[in-house]
Amino acid sequence: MGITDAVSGAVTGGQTGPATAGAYVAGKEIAGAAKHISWLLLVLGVFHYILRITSGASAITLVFSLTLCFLGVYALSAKLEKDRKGRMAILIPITVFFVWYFIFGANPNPQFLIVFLSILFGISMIFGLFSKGSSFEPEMYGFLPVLFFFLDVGLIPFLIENLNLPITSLMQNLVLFMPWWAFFGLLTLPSEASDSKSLNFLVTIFKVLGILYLVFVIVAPSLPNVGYDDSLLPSVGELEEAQANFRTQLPDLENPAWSNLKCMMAGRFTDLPVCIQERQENSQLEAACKQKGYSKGTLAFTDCTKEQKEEEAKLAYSAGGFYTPTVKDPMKAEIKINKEQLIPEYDPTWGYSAEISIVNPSKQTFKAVVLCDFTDKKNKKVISGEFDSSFEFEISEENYGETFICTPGEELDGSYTLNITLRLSGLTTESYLVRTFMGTEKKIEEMTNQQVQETKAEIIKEIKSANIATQSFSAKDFARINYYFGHTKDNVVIEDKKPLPVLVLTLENLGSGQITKLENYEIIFPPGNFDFSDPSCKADNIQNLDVKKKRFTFKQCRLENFPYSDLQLGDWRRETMTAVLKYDYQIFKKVQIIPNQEKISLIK
Amino acid sequence: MKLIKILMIMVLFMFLLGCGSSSGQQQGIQNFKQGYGSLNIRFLDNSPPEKIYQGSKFKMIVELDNQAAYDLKDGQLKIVGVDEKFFLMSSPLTNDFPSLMGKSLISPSGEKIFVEFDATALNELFENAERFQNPFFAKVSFDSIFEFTDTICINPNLYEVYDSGCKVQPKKSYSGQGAPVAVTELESVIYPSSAGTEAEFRMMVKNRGSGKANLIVLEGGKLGNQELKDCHFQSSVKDSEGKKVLFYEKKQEDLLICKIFLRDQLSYETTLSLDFSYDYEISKKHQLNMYK
Repeated sequence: MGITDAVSGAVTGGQTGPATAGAYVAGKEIAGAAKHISWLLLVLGVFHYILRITSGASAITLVFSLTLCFLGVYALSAKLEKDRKGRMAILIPITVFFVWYFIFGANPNPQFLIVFLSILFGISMIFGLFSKGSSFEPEMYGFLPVLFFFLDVGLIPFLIENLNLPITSLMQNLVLFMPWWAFFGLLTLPSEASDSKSLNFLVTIFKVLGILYLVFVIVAPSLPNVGYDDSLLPSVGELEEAQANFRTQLPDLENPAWSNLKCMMAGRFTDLPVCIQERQENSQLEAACKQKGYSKGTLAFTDCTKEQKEEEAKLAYSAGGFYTPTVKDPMKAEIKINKEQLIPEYDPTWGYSAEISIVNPSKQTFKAVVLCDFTDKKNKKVISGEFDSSFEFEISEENYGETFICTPGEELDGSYTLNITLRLSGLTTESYLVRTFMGTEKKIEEMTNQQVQETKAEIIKEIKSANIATQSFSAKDFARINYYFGHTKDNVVIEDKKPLPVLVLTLENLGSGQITKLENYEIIFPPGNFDFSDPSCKADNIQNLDVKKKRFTFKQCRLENFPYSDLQLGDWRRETMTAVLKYDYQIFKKVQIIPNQEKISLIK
Repeated sequence: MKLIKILMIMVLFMFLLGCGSSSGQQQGIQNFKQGYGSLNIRFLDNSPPEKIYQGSKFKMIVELDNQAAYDLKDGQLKIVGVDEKFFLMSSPLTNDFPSLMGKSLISPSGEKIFVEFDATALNELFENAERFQNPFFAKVSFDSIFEFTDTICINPNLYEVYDSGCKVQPKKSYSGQGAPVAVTELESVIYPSSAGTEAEFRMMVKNRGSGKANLIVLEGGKLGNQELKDCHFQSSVKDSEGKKVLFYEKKQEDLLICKIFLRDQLSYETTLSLDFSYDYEISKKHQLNMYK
């Protein structure tokens, strides 16, 4: 009996007599309890999902998720058609799992696991003995809330990010638009969730769709085996970080279910997929324009979406990139304006303090300059600011932190915007691309074309099993070069065939600041004959590029000759290319100040 | 009485021990040419180490263990897929081994060799990365042979119901001849022809090992003392007189058909023997894990 049917079985069982009447009442009570707790889980699950989407991963969402997990256990146990002891058994796996995961840090030591699992087995057997074996079924169900907990905190994005799985647009939607706990609440609702027959029918439909969805999510991406170093399971922090990263990398799309509904309401039944695609693309453009500060419905907003569309068309040819999976610390630069000092009685002549912190995990050496000024809000007059200490310095340490006090060069009178800028010059970011070169020369003369093709297919399969990323990747720096090199964008295998592969270089601003200057770039190829139609593809000065765009392609060229002509069919080699980008970057912070007016508001 | 019992037990014990000693002789007559024994590839424990630190030297030791009943020739072991941006290979990535003895009376467990590759983990990691994982493959290719021999019953007299000779088995199955490529089935068909009686042997040649067989060549065949001249693979390669077949990824089997005129009139038992040569490839995946 499935969990969905457990309660309905108890309620509708055709039994007669006083004893069975009691069972009927008891069953109805259980169903009632399950119904209420499931509805609660559904509602809280939706709320939790909105919270996670809007505020991102935090301690609150984690605690909320844990609470929902235990609520889920309660809903599941209330739904099971078991006696009290039997239902209590559902708590065994979840308790044991969380003890192992949180208290013992998911210890993968085999000796520890033998002892630990033996204890689990012992506890399970004791329960089994007292319940005459009826506790085993709920024990199995006990793993469901654990699974949902991991799905909620970001198991799928974690797997995608760490296994470099190719992400299809369908998969993006599956990951983005899934309120896992609400779905769990829906699953645990009894078949007669309400008195309304139509609502019950709707609940059933959603259950079926949800299960199909779940099956698709779990089965669709066939995950290759990966050797883990420390523990078989990632920490919650890693999972949540993966989810947050994944969300930031994905475009802000309209929920496809909503797009579907809108298209159906618009009567576009004949070209439904086209309509959904259009809505999805438009929502992405609109989101980009909203992010730029345009209000929907204005003329500027319409112009922005047009421009954005043109940009997107260009971007179709651009190269994508991702963060190197094993990089933990990103490069960071932050300006914090000390609000505590901005008391109403604050005298501007004392200066405004700004805390500059820089995290430089690769210990690069670069120059930093801190600048400040005050812009009069009325007449836009700029009053330069002065620092108490040297505002130019060199960074080579991993962590830098200093407080600067900016004093206005003139007396302030009125409303101003305090601008603090941090300019970093001489930054370097490396990005990497892995490609394999496959031989095509036949070793055995007798091979037919079909046999050659099949041998190639087998080699490609072997290469794919080596988990080579299709896109280029870099550390979490401020900017990077994304590039692809191949016969097609996502093909990691390069062979000696016409047309020879192309190299496409795209520049991407990864941070929230601006690239102020591009110095030069160089693509370092492995030893071999890598000649391109445009020699400047390998290295060039790029000072004249427009650096305002977030992402743009600036170079495309084609390889002239296959570099490893001595490779035979069946042989291949793996090579990593490195793109080195040198640039300047700046971040800024603006604060609105009204000296002696008891007000300060943070603009950005 | 007790003493007699103890003596009897001792005698029985000695008798049992005596029986045990005959197992050595048993081994002597062991038939190695059965099953699908092949070349086993294995990386020795800690070679390469599970964790390799930047700037450290390490060894990759590959064990090649020939569990086939035939010698392997012109062997080559290649390391493929190691990223030389991160790992400097001091030894050549290709290592040839001229031969590797198969299982036989002289060497009942087959010959085993260890191939070493010296490498250094360079002081390279992706910018800010904690570690680098490099899946790679050890690929071995070699040439070898296998023999198929069986005693079969031939009855040229198709209409003699009361022939008191041997019993014909129209279809037989085999569990290998001690090599990854083997004859797995034999179908014997005897039919009248214009010149007398003709026998047709249809043999399924299959790759049952974990690797990939390429070119299979029928080197020769005999039925008793008669040479089997009319043999051809169903998917034979051009200009090979039907004697060669090229296995490829999706098709690691082919049917070999041999025909012969029968001289005798009565049923008789005789030996059908065929010699094959083949070339073979096996691959083993492993991973290098470099840490900061």
